[in-house]
Amino acid sequence: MATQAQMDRLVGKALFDAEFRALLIADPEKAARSLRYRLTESQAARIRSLSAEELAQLAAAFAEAASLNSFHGIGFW
Amino acid sequence: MQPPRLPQMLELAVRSQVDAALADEPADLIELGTRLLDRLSPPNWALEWSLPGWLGRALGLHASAIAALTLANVYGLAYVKLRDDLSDGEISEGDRPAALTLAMTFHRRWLLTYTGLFPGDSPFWSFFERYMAQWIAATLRSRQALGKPFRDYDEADLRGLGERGAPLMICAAAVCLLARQEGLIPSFEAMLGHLLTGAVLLDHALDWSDDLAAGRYNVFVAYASALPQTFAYKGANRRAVAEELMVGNAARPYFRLIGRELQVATDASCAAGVTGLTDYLIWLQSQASDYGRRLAQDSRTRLHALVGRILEPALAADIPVTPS
Repeated sequence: MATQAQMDRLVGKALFDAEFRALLIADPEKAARSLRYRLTESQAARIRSLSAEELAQLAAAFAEAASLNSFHGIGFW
Repeated sequence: MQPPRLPQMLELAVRSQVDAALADEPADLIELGTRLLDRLSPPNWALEWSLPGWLGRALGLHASAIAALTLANVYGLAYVKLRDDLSDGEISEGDRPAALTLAMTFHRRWLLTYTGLFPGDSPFWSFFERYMAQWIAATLRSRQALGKPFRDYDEADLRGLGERGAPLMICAAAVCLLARQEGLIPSFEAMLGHLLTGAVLLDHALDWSDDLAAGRYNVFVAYASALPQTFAYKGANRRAVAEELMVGNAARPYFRLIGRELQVATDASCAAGVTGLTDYLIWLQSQASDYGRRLAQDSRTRLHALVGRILEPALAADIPVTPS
């Protein structure tokens, strides 16, 4: 069973990488194995139920959100 | 946590001398200079204010010499910072003429303070010239890509990054010469080189987003992306940084490099018995590693929230994409 952190990385990688996104939707187990993760049947089914189009839209929105937020601001200097 | 710094009495004495020097200038220069000095005063820029005192004490300099070297360093800091702000377009059009004049004023005061300490034929002036030449070259280089990927940076490239802070070395050479310990200059130079490289790398990690927005070359972005840092690749470079932080190595190798540079400087400072600087370097290392950890944690939290929304939309409808 993939841990929550592994699920985050698996789906997160699909948000940045279009090729990996296509693999994840077509064959979630194979995509997970490429990161040395193992999915349960229900985890794989949940991913399979996602729509590639929806994920691509989320990926675009996510990249934009990530880019708009600066991580700095600790008042260092 | 505040950085280690000079005794407050010395800071106040130096600040009042700078204020008194500014008082002879026209009103718009006084106003701009006061704003600048407020921004540059401790606890900000603690290293620049304190280094002459830390080194001077370790080498047994008299308090009056330490005060003069601290004053010189503050003038130098104000000059260099103004020049940087002018080059980076961070001074408004209306303030530019006053800023240029003020930069010249600080430069003049900087030189005048040192001419009171060193005669014209002192070797000090060749150190001054050398470090200023390094700073000018590093400033010009900082606007351009290095022409190689970050993973291929070698020792000389790293030292070259640190030369953005080369004017700081002037006061170290001055301390050694006044203490008649010129032989220490190369080892202090190497120590400060590692400190400055670590500090510049950290500065780029702090400023990457703003630098990318402004079209300024940034080493942290170069670490995450091999793409050119031009406006055409701005979005792709931002995505590459986000990818590294969220699903990559969370920039850990970059922060390890900062830690390594600062550790070399810390060991050298400790061996030289420069207690104040050693304390500062330990503080700086903790700041860098805390920041690296926060960066990684913040990125993973954002990713987790979004993946939660994707996989469990009904449960996670209220989770924001980014923390507020």
